[in-house]
Amino acid sequence: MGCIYALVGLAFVLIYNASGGLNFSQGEFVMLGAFALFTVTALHLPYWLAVVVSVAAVGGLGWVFQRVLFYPLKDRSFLYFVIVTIGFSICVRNLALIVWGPNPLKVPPLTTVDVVKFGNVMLSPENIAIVGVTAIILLLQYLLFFHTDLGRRLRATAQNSQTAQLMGIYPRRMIGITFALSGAISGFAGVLLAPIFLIDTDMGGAVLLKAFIAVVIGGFGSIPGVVIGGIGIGLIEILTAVYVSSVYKDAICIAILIIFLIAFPRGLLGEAVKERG
Amino acid sequence: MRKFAILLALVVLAAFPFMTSDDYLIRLVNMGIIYAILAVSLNFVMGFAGQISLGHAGFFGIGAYTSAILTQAGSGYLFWPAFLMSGVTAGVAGLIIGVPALRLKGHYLAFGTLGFGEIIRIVLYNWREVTRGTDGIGRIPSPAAFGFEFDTDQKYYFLCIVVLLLVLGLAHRTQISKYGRGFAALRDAEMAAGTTGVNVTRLKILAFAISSVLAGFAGSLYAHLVGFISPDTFTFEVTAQVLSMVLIGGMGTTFGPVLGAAFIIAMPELLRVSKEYYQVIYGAGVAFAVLFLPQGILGLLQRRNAMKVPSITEGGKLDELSIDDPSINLLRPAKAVSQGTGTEPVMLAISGLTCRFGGLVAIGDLSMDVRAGTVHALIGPNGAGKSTFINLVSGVYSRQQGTMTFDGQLVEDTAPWKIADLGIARTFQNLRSFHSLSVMDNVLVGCRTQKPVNWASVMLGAGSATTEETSLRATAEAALRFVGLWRVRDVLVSALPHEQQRLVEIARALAMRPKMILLDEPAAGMNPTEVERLIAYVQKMKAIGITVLIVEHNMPFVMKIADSITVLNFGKKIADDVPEAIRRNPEVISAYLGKRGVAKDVQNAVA
Repeated sequence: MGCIYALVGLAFVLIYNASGGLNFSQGEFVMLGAFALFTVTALHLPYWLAVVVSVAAVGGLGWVFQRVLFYPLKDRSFLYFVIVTIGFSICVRNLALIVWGPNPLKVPPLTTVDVVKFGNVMLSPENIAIVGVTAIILLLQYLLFFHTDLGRRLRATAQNSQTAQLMGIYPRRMIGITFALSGAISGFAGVLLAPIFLIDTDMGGAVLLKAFIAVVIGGFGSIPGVVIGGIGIGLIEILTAVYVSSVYKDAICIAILIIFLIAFPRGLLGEAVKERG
Repeated sequence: MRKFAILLALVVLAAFPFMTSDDYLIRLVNMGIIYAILAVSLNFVMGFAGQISLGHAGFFGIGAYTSAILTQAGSGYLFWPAFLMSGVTAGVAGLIIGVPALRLKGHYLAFGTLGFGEIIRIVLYNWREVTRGTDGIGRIPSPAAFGFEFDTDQKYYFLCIVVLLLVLGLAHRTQISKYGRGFAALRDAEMAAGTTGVNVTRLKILAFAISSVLAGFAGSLYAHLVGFISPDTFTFEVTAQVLSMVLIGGMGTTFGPVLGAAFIIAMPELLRVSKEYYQVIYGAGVAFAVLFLPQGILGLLQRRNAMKVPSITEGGKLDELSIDDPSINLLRPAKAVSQGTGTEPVMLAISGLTCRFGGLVAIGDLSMDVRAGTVHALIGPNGAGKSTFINLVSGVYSRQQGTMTFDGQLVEDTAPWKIADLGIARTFQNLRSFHSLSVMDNVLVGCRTQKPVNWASVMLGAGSATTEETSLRATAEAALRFVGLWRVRDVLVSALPHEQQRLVEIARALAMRPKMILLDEPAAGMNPTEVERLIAYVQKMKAIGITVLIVEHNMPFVMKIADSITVLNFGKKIADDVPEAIRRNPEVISAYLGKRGVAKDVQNAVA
């Protein structure tokens, strides 16, 4: 679960770093990823192809989202974008309700194997997949941002899009790529979640709140921070559910959020991008 | 005309419930009014003070639960004390969230308040002994007074509308008063607001407190209207709805949030035709309303008159306050400058001042004196620590080491507005005007009377508040005339050319009636004629007894006006003397032109 939070947090941070926008509909991208997988697997495509199609579809949606909803607002206060994303999330959630119906759906499991044994530790293949895929995405992410020319341009746009523009970078395209990437990562999180949980239209909101907490714990805008934060919050959640009470697991997560905001506003790893004026 | 329109609106509002017998419609209108109150309250924090709150549903919920718990299954007469208590509990919660929120800005504040709202909701769910958890609280009585019961929606309507009108009155009074100007200053340029004497901390807390009290009232009205509440009502969706009302209606305006509330409440009703899709269209509608109504509905309704910026000269002559004009006394230092011994007592004494940024020593063990009534210049190459010095003196940076004595009084390391209160005003190297305000209002932010009138008197429109406003305006007028900007007083400050915006900052500083004024590169970006005018103003300031400390690169300018000059290089003082001596000082020359600099070139450069 922690890895999922980390992935969604990562998708969220990508957009924040590139544009200063807070995307409150990130959770809906996760939900759509899961539903897309449901629909595509129902078409009897090979599983791997279904995954690719779902992720690509949500990534594409991320790009469209940027073009239609983010771009016109890029010079205004981030609050406007927040409201637009909330509106978008209401819209998409209800659309999904109409298309897929109110009943939770089940996606076929990844493999026919139930558990994989490592000595006396038993893990389900889905959980292994989540950890593995998170690690791979993070690695790819790192390579993309720090070892390619495109990555350098993306980072330049994030730091100062006007100067980047003067250097011959096309910020609009860079922001588009970032949104698409962010959409794809959220979609992937949804795809990974789908086989272990029943999917319904409200799954996005719950994931998003935890992803927020992961972002704050890790330090706003810091990518390694959000991974640590995500895994941390996943662990805390499970530990509270086991040792205290599952009723209070959300309350404890939020209490941690507030403690961090007041005591360590820069998070564990500090803020990667300075506060925008 | 305006009075007539207001009267007509009141008549329509009063007649409305008698024009329809559709209970559903009236219930909807009542809900709309309650949401409008909530939106206006959120606007105090967001629109006026420029802070962010995503926890508004929490205050709303606290208000509703307070009222419900106190009156449950009781008499309708309990409503009135319960209503007030709702405001109090929500207000206390507002203070609890407002005080730590001072440390948070922007996105962090957004998340902090979001977390607060969620916590309230979780508490409402789980504190079963008091809130009854998911069962909710029912049997909340209708309010009653003098044997009259507000038991139908028609009757309740009047209660709601009266509260809304009172709340709107409060918002309007706030906006046109000194508090409104303070909020705008805080929103536009927090740092400049502080150095202009606006108590930033107090205003932020005030905004959170007013806002949460009003939200608590809205909650109480809601509870008594519906008669049953449960935690499901107070989710993040309420916050999002109220937020969109403020944004769609017009942030920072008095009536905008009401229009936004009408829009958001009415839209789903108009869309009921397609039952399945209405939420979809609703979500999309909110998004598109924000996209296509950048100024909100109110902005759409108000025609933007193209404003013509009047010239500040009339027939080539400036309308300026001459030194013989009696009203110049309004700008003399407010508190008498203490008379020290000697002819020129020290106004500002700095000793052992040190400031480090990480490993970099920006200012190292600096000591200097500025004599009262003189024009003192601080010069040095870029990176010498001049701006850091100004920031330290004005309290923008906190002082790590060193002491500062101002007018014979030891000054602690304290908030910028306290330093401003002592009589130190400043301008900024990069313009920091309050861009959403007019020139006059910018200057008014700086004006302050000896005994400021408190908030309650301002809101009630007491006589003392009116007197205060008149005296503030007189000071502001004198300050604007001083720099020759009286003719552009009603123009939005951001519409002025660069030089005049600088002058507005100077007028704003003068309006504080300081003992000393710090000018941070006032001549930057000015042409020679404008510099000439600036010189005249600086001399005029000196003439009315204001000590001037000026940081500048324009050497001819400095040489003309300065009585003494301090030269900084790499955070160290390398010279401190009268202009003629500085001109010949070899160390100064080498700092500016490098070791091989020829003295003659310097002579030419500064001549």
